[in-house]
Amino acid sequence: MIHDIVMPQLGITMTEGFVLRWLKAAGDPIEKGEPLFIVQTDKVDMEVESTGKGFVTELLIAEEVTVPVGTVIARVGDSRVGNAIVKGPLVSPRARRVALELGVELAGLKGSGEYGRIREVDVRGVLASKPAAPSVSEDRSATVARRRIAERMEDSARTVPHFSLRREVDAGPLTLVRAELLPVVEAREGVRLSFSDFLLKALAVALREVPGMNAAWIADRVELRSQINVGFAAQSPTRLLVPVVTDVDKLTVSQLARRRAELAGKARDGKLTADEMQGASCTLSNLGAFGVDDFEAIINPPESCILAAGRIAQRPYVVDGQLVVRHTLRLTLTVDHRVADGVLAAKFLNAVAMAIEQPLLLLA
Amino acid sequence: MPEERNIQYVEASVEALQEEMRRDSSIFYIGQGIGQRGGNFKQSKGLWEEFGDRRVRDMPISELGQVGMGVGAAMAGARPVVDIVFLDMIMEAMGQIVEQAATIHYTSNGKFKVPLVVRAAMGSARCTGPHHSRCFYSWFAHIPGLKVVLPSSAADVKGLMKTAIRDDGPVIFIEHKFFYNKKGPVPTGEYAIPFGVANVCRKGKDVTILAMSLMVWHALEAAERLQKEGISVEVIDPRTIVPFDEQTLLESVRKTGRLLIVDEAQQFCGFSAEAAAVVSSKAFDSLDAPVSRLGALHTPHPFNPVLEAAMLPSVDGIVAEVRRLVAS
Repeated sequence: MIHDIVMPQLGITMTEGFVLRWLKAAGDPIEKGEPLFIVQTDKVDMEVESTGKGFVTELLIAEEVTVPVGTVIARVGDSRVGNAIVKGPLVSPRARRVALELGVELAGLKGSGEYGRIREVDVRGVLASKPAAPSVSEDRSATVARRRIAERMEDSARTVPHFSLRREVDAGPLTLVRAELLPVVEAREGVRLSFSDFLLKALAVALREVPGMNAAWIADRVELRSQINVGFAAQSPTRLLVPVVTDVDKLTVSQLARRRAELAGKARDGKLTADEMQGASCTLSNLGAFGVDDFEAIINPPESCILAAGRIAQRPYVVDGQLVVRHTLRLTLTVDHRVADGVLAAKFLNAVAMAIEQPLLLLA
Repeated sequence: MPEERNIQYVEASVEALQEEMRRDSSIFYIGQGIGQRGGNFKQSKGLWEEFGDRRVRDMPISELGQVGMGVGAAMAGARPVVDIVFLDMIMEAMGQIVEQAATIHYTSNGKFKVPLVVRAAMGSARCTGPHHSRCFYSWFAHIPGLKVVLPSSAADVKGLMKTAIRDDGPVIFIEHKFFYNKKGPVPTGEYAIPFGVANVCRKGKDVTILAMSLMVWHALEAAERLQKEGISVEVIDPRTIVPFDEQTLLESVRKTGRLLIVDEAQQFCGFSAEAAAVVSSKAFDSLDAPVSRLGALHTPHPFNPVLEAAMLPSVDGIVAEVRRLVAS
């Protein structure tokens, strides 16, 4: 029996997948559940397990090739014999013939055709261009990851109608509460409580108060969410990742801090799973630690919004007609206009602001 | 350069009949509305006036009877031209065409010849629905003993009609309704175009398009647009699909490495599949991309103009497919 291996859908918005590497060659024995290939998304390199057992009879696409979800990319059969083909790139019959005529080695050649197929132009290109020694060595995986991020951001910027709301909030009480809780949480949970933890909690409170924003734009409609999940932008050495804290509303600030630290650690080590990076309605991007006053972020589809937080700094502030100096925080909420209109978004940002200005409510 | 005139496709076809009928008195022409009326498409205009009832005769609405008479007369030594008018109606005469006209020469061990031309017009012209739009040519190509002609220009319709009438076997001669009023250059003086010789309508080097009948014109228009993008398209019209000029197609694909076949008939099990198979087996090592096909969707022709446009290959569709082919 021949079993088709297809490109799986690893996330709600995933419509195509990028095969970074094959882990088996044609002819290799394979068990059901054994890793067969690595799919790279903008977020994660994920080993995909074989859904069939026997022998890998065919690898139908080359490495570093993008195919639509559901495409048959390999076959697993009962016997090693038969149509087993050598692991390697796809080559058009014409390219194979021309390569033979010109004495060009096909191995290592990069194909420009569909599914990475090597075409005549690629074979002739080898002769046309004298290979120059690469001046900069680069991590291939990192380059590929950058490409994935580029695609995803391009897609979001192009297809999501973004609008942004700005608000400066009084962060004085928050700095005091955080300073007070810092040693307590450090002693109890062994993690350093950050402003991000309060901001995540504030977003959760706001999502509960304004449920219209606890939503995502999926398949041309607004999908409301019942769980309150919030993502946060985390930088790994090679890429930007957005781990998601689930059920933020049910966590205490210290539990949240522990979970956030755990996910950030996994992001750094490249250990996040696809499940740990989906299901959020909004994302927090906090660049406060880098001295940024305020900025606008690009939405992480299919989420409804993204909150960009700058640094908490002493700034001139007017209270009851008096100019005073306060610790303030500048927030920029960027919203998908397909999911929400200005008023709803403003109510949401207001709820976030209220929660930050009265941080004790976050602990209630 | 031989002298040319710019005349309608339908006029060129009438000229062919007229000249042949003057030349050979064994030729007669029968069909519905082709007598005094001059044909639904004016495809027999002036013939009744010149040759009279004896050689140009209206028929009752019975395609089976018409073709049956044609087969019998052909076996007895005449050279009949039977006009079905709308190709769709040829279904009524299939038994006579397939079992008799195409087969008698073989079953009689060559004793009988059937020099019969069955003429009809096919294709979508003005959203005339499933009963007046079909393109059945691949059905006949499947039957041994029939020749199948698909003229796409005024010059070709004349030259190929003459060859059809002079052929000693049955010929299915399928014009396109859309063309009848279109003008084109036609050589003055006597000429005939042999069967099985494809016409390279446009020279190119990046992609070969094989197209039949109206699709030739769509392909040429697409090629013109693609030229502006720097994509050079070669357009080949086989003119007859039986006999089929494989060599011209294979030579072209050996040059370009890419083939798109455009077929107004339903793609599934159509002639495009045959042509694709020929190229895949005989020019495999020349292909730089999989052979691509554009054909009608597997559905009857709708009356709705929007739906009809959606089911048929279009110039835009050809342009897009060629772009894809060049990129893949």
